[in-house]
Amino acid sequence: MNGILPEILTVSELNAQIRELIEENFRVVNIAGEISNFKLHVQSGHYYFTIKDQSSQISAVMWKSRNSTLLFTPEDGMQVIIKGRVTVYPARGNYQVEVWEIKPQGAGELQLRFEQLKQRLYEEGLFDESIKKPIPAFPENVVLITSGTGAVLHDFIRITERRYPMMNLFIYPVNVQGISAASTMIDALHETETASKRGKLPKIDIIVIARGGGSIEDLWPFNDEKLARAINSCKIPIVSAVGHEVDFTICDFASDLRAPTPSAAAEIITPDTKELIENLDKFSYFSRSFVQSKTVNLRNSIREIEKSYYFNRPKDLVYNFYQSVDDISRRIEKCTNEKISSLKNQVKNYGKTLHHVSPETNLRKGYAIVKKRVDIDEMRLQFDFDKIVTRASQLRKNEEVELQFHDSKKKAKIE
Amino acid sequence: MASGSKKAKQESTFEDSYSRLEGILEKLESDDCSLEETIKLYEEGLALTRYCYDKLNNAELRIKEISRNSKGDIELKEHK
Repeated sequence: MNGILPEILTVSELNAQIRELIEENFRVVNIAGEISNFKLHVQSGHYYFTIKDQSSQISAVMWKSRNSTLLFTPEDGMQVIIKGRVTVYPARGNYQVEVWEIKPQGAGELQLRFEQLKQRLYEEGLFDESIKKPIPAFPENVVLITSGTGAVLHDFIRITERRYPMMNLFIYPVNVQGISAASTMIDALHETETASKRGKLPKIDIIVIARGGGSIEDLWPFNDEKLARAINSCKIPIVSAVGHEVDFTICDFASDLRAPTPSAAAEIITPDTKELIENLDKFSYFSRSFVQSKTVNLRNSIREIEKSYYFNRPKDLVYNFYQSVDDISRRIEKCTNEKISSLKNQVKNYGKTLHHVSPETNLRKGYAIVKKRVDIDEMRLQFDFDKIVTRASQLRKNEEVELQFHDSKKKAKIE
Repeated sequence: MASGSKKAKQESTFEDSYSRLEGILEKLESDDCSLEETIKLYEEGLALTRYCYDKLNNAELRIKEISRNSKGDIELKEHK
């Protein structure tokens, strides 16, 4: 380079050299930062944004070919880890990060996408309680959409068989994992509804969508937006039973009822035959005892009425009459007896008095009764032949008289 | 499948019977029920319980598998 003039570069040449330098040295970079100034270019579908920390920032681009596999949409303020390379845009002489992957810090990217979809559908009203259909208490025909193999199907059959064998169970085998899972489930929902409507299936009371536990990636088909909409528009009540108790999916929120697990779904949708039989036993017992107590009560109340004062009044009246009749007859008896005995006494007294004044008594004292023959004229007046002489003037000379003493009679002649 | 849906319709009385039983019990429990009514309800309940017992005791879970034939139509076959 001695004595040679310094090399003069064109802008393009400089930018090309810088580009080579930079792109050579930053072929793969991982950057932690915050997304800001995020823009989605509508026509092209590319993402443009800035990654920054407290004191510095760098432009970033994510081409549509890359961002279409992203499970969530980046937002301003999101803390992320970005993987990509640094490129130079020679036309403007600036450099930027060409982003291949964005991983949210903290929550996983699937989690983030899940939250975003949930939020969006929630705001749309897809999960409203008011549109949830009630689950019939005694389902006759149930369609189970799940994997054709595995523990879920086996457990579901075992539990429904034990609890409610009156049910008809239709199994609709689908893929519950992988790319095609969501579409086969959507298809199964549509087919079930159509077949039930056209009579190819009986009237379906409940559809259960079930899958056993797994990672968030395994359960991902159940976070499909189209599946959520298919569930939402289905006229048949749907019970969602995906994963374990702690797993929540969009399918759960869109369904009419979420069961914590497939086995729990089998229990929730079926009444327990044992309990039903117990209830029938109780019914038989109670209804019999009701009828019995009813008749006993009625019998008792009839007895009560029978015993009541008013019902017994006629009898009382009769008894009262009995009593007063008795009373009167007693009183009559008493009066009569008294009367009789008083009369008896009176008669006795009269007797005594009579005795004292009787001629007999006087005769015994020495009196005598003088009787004389009655004249024929006088006989017309009295029927006694003898007439008691009460005055001396009544007697004539030589008239025969009879002297009666207390012991006998003697004849005498008046001088 | 037409016969299947008809059959289902005929058998749909279990729920009706069962809820009718609950209604009967409620009526029996209420005081404003005459003796004639009570006896009538009791007899009806007795017949319904017999029917429900019979249904429950003789039930056997029927399992069918849904599949699609080559034309894309739904087909039912016995499970296992």
